[in-house]
Amino acid sequence: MLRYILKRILWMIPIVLGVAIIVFTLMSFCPGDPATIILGSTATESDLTAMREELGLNKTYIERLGTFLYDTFIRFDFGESWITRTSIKAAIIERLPRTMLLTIATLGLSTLIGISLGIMAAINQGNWKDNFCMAFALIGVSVPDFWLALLLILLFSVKLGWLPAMGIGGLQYYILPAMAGCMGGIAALARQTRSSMLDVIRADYITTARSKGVPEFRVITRHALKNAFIPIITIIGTHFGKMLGGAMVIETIFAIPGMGSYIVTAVNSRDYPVVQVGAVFLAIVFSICMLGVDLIYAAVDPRIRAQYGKKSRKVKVNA
Amino acid sequence: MKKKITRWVCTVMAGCMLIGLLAGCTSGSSPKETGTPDANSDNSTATDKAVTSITIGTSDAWDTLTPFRTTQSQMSSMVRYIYDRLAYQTADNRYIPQVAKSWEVEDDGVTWNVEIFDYVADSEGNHITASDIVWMLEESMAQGLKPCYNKIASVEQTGDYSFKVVMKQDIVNSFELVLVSTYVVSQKAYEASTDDFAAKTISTSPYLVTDFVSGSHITFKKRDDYWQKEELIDKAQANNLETITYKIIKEASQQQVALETGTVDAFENISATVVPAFEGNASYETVQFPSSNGIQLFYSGDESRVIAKDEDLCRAISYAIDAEGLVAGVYNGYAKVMHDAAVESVVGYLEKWNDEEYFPYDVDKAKEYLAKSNYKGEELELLCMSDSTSQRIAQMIQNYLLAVDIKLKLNIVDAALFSASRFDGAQYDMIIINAGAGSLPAFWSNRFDSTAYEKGDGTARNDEVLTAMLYSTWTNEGFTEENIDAVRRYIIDHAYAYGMCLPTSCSIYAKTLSIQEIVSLPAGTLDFAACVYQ
Repeated sequence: MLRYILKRILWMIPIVLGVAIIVFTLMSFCPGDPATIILGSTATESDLTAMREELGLNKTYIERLGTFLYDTFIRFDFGESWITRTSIKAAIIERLPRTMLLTIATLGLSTLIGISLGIMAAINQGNWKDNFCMAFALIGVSVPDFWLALLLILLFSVKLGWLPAMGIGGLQYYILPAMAGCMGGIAALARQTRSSMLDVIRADYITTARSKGVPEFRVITRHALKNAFIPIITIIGTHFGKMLGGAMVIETIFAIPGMGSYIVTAVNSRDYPVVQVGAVFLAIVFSICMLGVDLIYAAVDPRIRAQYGKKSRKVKVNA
Repeated sequence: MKKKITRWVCTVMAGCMLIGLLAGCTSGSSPKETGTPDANSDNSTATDKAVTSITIGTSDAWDTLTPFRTTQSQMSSMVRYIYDRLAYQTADNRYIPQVAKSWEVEDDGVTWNVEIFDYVADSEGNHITASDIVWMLEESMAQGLKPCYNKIASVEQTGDYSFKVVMKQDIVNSFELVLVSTYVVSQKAYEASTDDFAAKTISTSPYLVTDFVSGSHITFKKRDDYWQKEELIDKAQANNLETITYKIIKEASQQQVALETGTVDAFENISATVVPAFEGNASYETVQFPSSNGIQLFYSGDESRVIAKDEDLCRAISYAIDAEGLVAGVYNGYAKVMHDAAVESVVGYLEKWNDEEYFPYDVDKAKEYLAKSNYKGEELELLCMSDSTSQRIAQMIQNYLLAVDIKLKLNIVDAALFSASRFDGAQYDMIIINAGAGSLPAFWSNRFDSTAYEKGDGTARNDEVLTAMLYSTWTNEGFTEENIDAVRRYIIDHAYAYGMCLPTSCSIYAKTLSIQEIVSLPAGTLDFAACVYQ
């Protein structure tokens, strides 16, 4: 198992390097002059030339790529934003907890509600409860999160006055953003859970468990759900990674200065260092998420655990 | 089975609609009676007490507090709470001393001698001398921080509290723009700073930044040890509030919600789509001033473009666009028609222009000019930014031109690409610019001076006659009404640009603030610290 984890961590190196090179290349060749953006539209040609020199834009692509990779991966120096002249590391440290909290809250809600709906739909296949859950999932997929966000704000902030409509502060500031952002996740998880549960619910071992008199709740949670969990975990992991970098709409509506708005603003202003470091950082987080997902597979499914263990033993013998 | 599903889907949909209705039906209701602060706000806006603190909503995001930020306008309302400047520009375009005690020009018209107060100190007690100012000016010039610094030839310290600035040309108002753009910072404090004042500043202003979260909020607290004597502070720079908090809210509907829920007491430069919800509401006051930036259409001057040599085509386009229609269609009426390419608030703008005819919407005249032009049905290209306002303006222009049989292709690009292309007239036939300036000479210099940019003026045009006219007009001697009028006439006659509309800057505040006297800024926003409260 340990060997498998090490192997996965080693695999992360080429993945992250690949992401870094691709992002750097895309940013380098996309149109738009960062010097003009930094100095403003009325800067003289000599000012622009001096700024390009200062930013290293006059160097060749290979030289700039080398410097970027060396600074980021060897010196761990993420540099400064070209636009704001502030440390990127400090900005990420400041913004990441907000995005992380938002992601965890959103994912928590999605998981809780989505899996519950999926189970309910599966065990009541074909009756009104199933239809209700699937209709809910359909609506969840269809409703745009910005629209839902505005409705939630009107109800809970303006009409009822229960929750703050925007800004950052305590946990209460994350309730509405999480509610608005979780609908898509609920829908995906409910549909996946239903489908996976239906696959296992008619399996022989479930019938055996029932015939042995195991209580229905235990049959569903211990025997059926556990075996149906693999694809659900994949969806949760993917959503987690996506939300860390892609909560831009929710962050904008609720005025949360997080990672999504940081990176998107940087893309629009051609702030190359921020985009590059942001993308690399998200690639690392995403890779870690996927590693976590694989480890949870092993924890949930003894067959996978055994497979990892077998491979390890095999290698040991060969060695 | 099918029926069942349909029934349940309908039920769920109806449920959702009901929730939507419940939520939505409250949106049009009158906002709360007072601008009562929410639980998390520490504002004291009660009517029986004098207002000492305020929370202001803004869409103007500050990512950093560094004095060396290039793109942030010095006209933003929160600037004066962060740093003092050499001089201060009032809404009626007066330049009043701030750190600079006095300034005078020598006979050559380009050498300015400035004396600063000898008791200026920042919040850490660092004494400010002329060397700090000279350092700041030299750094600003080296970094090409703002256009006004490009006009400086040299800076020299002449005493502990005096220095000399030599401008490259005698241009009206160019030195004053340097004064109001130069932030005063102690060199020692700046160099000792670990983050170049990005988040933690050492203030020379009457306020101190106590809490700053980039992209979220910024809080200022009044300094007890502000260096300037109370009796020497102009009314326009009064500091009548103890605490000021700005909350950054970009999304239009959230701006409305913030005001309605009392999250903010006031909102500066609020989105025009939100303003109707507050007009006529007894709990709020709406203040409107013309913005400092207008919406103009500039025609390419690059000779590779057909339009550059075809003044009749430019005239046809100008007559074909209904500026009133743009005001109504894009700005909900919160804008006004322009009467020149420059906005009316700039120094040098002549009042009489507002009464003169300026490309009135006239389809027949447009067709007449089009017939005279060399236009043969080619597809013209309009470059504009991808923000929603510019896009809507571009789309309306496309329709107006279609009505006179001019084909127009829209090239909508993001801000970065727009900045990279805007001076290259070879890349477009027309460009929508959102521009303003402190004075007419500054505006002309940015837009019509053929020597200003690599390929010519702001649209790559090389009109030596106009450039010569500008050079003789923007001197202190030549800046006469007659000369100014002649330059404007020349630009109109050659149809180089068409000023379309000037958006209104709307600020809304809760009446519980009990503002007795409002003080505005050149940008059209309110200076809440300088306002007089009951």
